[in-house]
Formats: sequence, C-alpha cells, structure tokens
Amino acid sequence: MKVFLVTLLIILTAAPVFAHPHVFVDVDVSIETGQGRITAIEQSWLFDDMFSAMMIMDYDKNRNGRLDLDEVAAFKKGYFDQFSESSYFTFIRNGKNTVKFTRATDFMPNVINGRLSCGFRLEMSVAVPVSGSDILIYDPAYYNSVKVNSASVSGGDSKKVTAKIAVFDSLKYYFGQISPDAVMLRGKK
Amino acid sequence: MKKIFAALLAMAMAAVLYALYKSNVWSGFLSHLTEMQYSLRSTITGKAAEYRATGSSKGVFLIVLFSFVYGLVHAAGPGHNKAAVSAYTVSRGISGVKAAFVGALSGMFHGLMSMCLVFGVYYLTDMHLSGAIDSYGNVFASVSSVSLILFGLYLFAASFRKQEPRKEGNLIFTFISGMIPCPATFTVGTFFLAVRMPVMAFAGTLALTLGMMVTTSLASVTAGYAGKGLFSSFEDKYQLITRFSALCLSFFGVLLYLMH
Repeated sequence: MKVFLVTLLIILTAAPVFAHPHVFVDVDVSIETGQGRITAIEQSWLFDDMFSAMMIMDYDKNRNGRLDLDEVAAFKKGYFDQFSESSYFTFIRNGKNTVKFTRATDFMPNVINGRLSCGFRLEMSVAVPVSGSDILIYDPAYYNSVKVNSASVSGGDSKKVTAKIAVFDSLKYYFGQISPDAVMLRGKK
Repeated sequence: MKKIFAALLAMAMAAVLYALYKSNVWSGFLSHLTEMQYSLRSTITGKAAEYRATGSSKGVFLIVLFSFVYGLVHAAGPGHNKAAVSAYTVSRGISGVKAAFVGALSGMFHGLMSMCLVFGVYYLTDMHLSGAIDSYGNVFASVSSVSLILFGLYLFAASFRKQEPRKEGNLIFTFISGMIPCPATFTVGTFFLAVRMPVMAFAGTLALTLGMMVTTSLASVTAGYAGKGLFSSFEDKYQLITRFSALCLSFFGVLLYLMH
C-alpha cells in the first residue's frame, strides 16, 4: 500500500517543468473555398482582458483607446510578425500532409470593449482539397491557449462541405500533453 | 519476495498512469485547468471594473481573493518548479515543515521576481512591458537552467564524497529554481498598472504569489512524504534514490534550457 502511494505521489507531483498558457485567445475562422480547394483562411483573434490591457498600454501611445495607423505598424512589427515562425498557429492537415504558413496579409487590429482583436488573412500557396482537410489552430509552445469559437465556409464550395469544430485527439503537442482545437471540413452527404 | 512484489506493483502502476497520460484523461485535465485560469482572470478583471465603478472595499477583498485562487490553480499546471522542487526534496531527504518551506520559498521567488520586474520596468524604464517579460524571462531562464544543472551535479557528487551539502543549499536552490519571473504574475501586475490601479497591482501580484507558494509547498511536502516512504521501503537503496533524484534535478535543468 505504501509503495502504491509513494509511486502515485511521485508521479503526480512531478509534472513536467515547462511553460503553460499565459495568454488566452478566442479565434473565429472563415475558410474561403473554390474549385474543391481551400483558397484562403481568414481569422480573427480576440485576446483576453489582461493581455489586451498590456498590449494597448504598450502600443496605444496617444492613449486614444485605439491603434492608429502608425501604432498598428509598430504593433505588427513588434508583436504580430513573430507568428510567422509558428505558422500563425495555423496548420492544415490532409492525410499525412501538413501545410504551414509563413506570411499573413490584411492585418488589422482593433480594440473592442477594451479587448484587443487582430484580423488577418492567410493565402494558400499549395493546393489543398477542401473535403477531408483539418485546420488545426494552436500554439505549439503552449504559451497561448487558443480556442476556436466559430468556423464558417465561404466561396464556391460552401454548400458542399460542413465545418465542425472539435478537439483533434490524433495530435498531442507540448510534450504529448494537449490536443489542439481543429476545424474539420467534411463533404455534405 | 515482498520487495520484488512491491517493485512489480509500482511498475504496473506507473504503466497504468502512463497509459492515462497518453490517453485523453491528462489532456482533459490540463484543458480544464486552462479553462479555470481563463475564468479566474476574467473574474479578476470584472471585479476590477466593478471596483473602479463603485469604489467598494468588498471589491478589493474579492480581487485579492481571486488573485490568490488564481495563483493556486496556475501553479498546479505545468511549469512552476514542482518537478524541480520534488527532485530536490527527495535528493536531500527532507520532508515535513522543511519541505514545505523549500516549496514555499521557491514559489515566493518566482512571484517576487515578476513583481520586481513589472514595477521596475513600468516606473524606471521606457521599455514595452510585453517585451520585458520575454527578454528578461529568457535571460533568467537560461541562468536558472544552467544553475539547476550544476546544482544537481553538485548534489550528486556530494553524495559520493559522503559530504553533507552546505546548510545554505536550501536557500540557494529555492532562489535558482524560482528566479524565472512568472509571466502570469507579470500580466496581472501589468493589467492593474494599465488601468491605473497601482495599489491593486501590488496587492494582486502579492496574493497571486502567495497562492503559488501554497501549491509549490504542497508539491514539496508531497514529494518529501513520497521520498520518506521510498527510503523506508528501500532502506538499502537510500544513496541510489538520492543520487537519482539529484540527476533528475539536472535533467529538469537541461529540459528548461532546451525550452528557452
């Protein structure tokens, strides 16, 4: 009995000594389609109150409660552009293939009820079929906790596929501990 | 025979727990913990807004209370020295109040470093606060990880020389393990400074730090108890267990270094 307790206690106390989420992001996704392929992904990230307050304090230099053009440029350069290294937290899986992104366009931050929101667009550089694709949205470093709130499909194939938000159990990241949120695109029957 | 059975039972248990870890039980638990933290942060910011609107002293109490609870929950998740503190506690064979003290001190340094950083950067520099936690955090993480590696090796070597580690060892360890500024404490402090509530920035971060101290202390006490149980079940393996724990400490330092 003692050995049982000892083993249990050691394992439970010794959780991996790594980082964990300090920023919470709610994501709305819109997938553009055409000719059976994904053509672009538009996203809107809404950050939590605390992180938003910190970023607004840092970048809203004239304290007018919004980010003006020069402040947007500084914010993009100082904060947002780094996400190109982590594919803007967006990964498309289709079978064994994984598509990543290195460039975002149409970047536009806003302040909504004191919370920072960032909209941007990811254009596809390779052909990926709509049906059967899973769009995983997560921070591999788990510094940001990303939750997909809504997903929609637009464009030529919008009536042919459904977008379902689910936890992608097949993948566990952050040292095998967490499963990401995913938008699963499946053909309508 | 009894020891063989006990060892086999322990291995079977470890296998079951590993299976749970690889299944969705552990990830579900972590997701739940994350949701709780998000909810607590939203509650803190909501109470802050209420306090700004009403000026009620009850608001102050609630902010402090929820900050404390946030610290408790936050430190329960991965990455708050629990593993390093556990390894150290077992490697030194300490338990009870001493173990609690070690855990609490480590948590205290973790929170205090953040408090110093956020107030220092805000009042003494023109630096972006968002950039400060990344820049300074990485520096401290590198120093801490290398220090943990060396300290673990020192404890390992000391056991062969049959030399008792120095009395100041506990204090040194708690500082090097806790020196990385806690981003959550930093964010809470920044939030209250951003909404022009510097007194709440101090109170909130202090309460959060106290919460983290409780959790890390509990982890340390648990590890100390586990270590004591191991030593009594495997008396002839005392040196082996303490040396293995010292190497675990160095290993955690390596992992921390690779993370940053």
